[in-house]
Amino acid sequence: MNPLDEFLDRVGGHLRSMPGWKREEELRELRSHLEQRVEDFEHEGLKTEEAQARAVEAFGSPKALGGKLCDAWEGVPTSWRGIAAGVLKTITIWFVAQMVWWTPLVVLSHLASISPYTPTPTYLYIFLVFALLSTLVVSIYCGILLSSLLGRRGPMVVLAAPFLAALLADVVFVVEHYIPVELYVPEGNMFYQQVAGLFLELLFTFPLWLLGAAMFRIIQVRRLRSLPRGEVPNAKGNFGPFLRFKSRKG
Amino acid sequence: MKRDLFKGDLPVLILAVVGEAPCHGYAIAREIERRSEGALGVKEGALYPALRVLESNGAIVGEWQEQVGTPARKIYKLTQSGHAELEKAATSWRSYARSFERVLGGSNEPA
Repeated sequence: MNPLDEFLDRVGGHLRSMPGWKREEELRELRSHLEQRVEDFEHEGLKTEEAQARAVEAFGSPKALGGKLCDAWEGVPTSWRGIAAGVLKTITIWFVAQMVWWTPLVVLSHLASISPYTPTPTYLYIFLVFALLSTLVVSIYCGILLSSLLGRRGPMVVLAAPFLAALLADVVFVVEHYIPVELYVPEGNMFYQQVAGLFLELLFTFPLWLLGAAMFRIIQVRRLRSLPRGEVPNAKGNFGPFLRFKSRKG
Repeated sequence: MKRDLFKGDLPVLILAVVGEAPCHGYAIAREIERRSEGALGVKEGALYPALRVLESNGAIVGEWQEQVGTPARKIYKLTQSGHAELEKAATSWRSYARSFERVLGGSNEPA
């Protein structure tokens, strides 16, 4: 196999989220470019093997090229800013969803505990069950959202989540140490503990995030690979937060 | 002095070349190098992803053209929205270049 065929083979192996017809088109265009480059190098006096090697070298890593072409095909962000925006959006949704359930639970538990004559109300247990179920559902949903927003990088970002969560919890503890709210509001440090608790919860629920992200990515790649000729993923509708999938005529 | 293009530079240059006349990917890369007299190096690995992004944004449209005696080529041409984007980017770049030139060519105000 000559260097051109080898290179194109390797690039083709990384075009995983493209249907067959799209992969063929991409490789056809790359081959045409490479062949012209080789011709130019040969006119400059290089031998065929050397010209082919130089032409392939100019393209860089086949894995990087394949990944970038897939990102462009799926319409996912490739810049650090775009990726950070996706992560921030997901963490915000996680945070808000958790605060909706856990804040009333914490407040009610605290109110129930300060009165020695009030037994723990039954509704607190019901609230706890809903809060735990919502944690389960929201964790899986956030994993799905990350895959939807970031494509192939979604599951990779989830794998980094435990480190991020531990770091954020540490930041909250440091802030609590230097800015003790308790001086101004009785039991005010409960707020810091809740926020840190949410980040630690992220740490413990990351297997659910990973499950959501990985499952979704598998389904997403299957759907993308089955797109008929002439149709392209519609990035805005493509498994967005409301799990719609639309393609459009290319 | 040869300089590699920054990530955000390449789409603008592609629009400028394609805006002049429809052409295929290889010709776009060579034309950028020719016009810059070799000063701007196009990384081949960045060219096709940039073309795909411009296509999906609707700034350019690609069409396969069968040719006699040579392999088929995908020719890109600028759309109306591509023209608008090129105008906007070119104005912004020219203004930036003028400001840079003024600072480089100027002298500090006396204290």
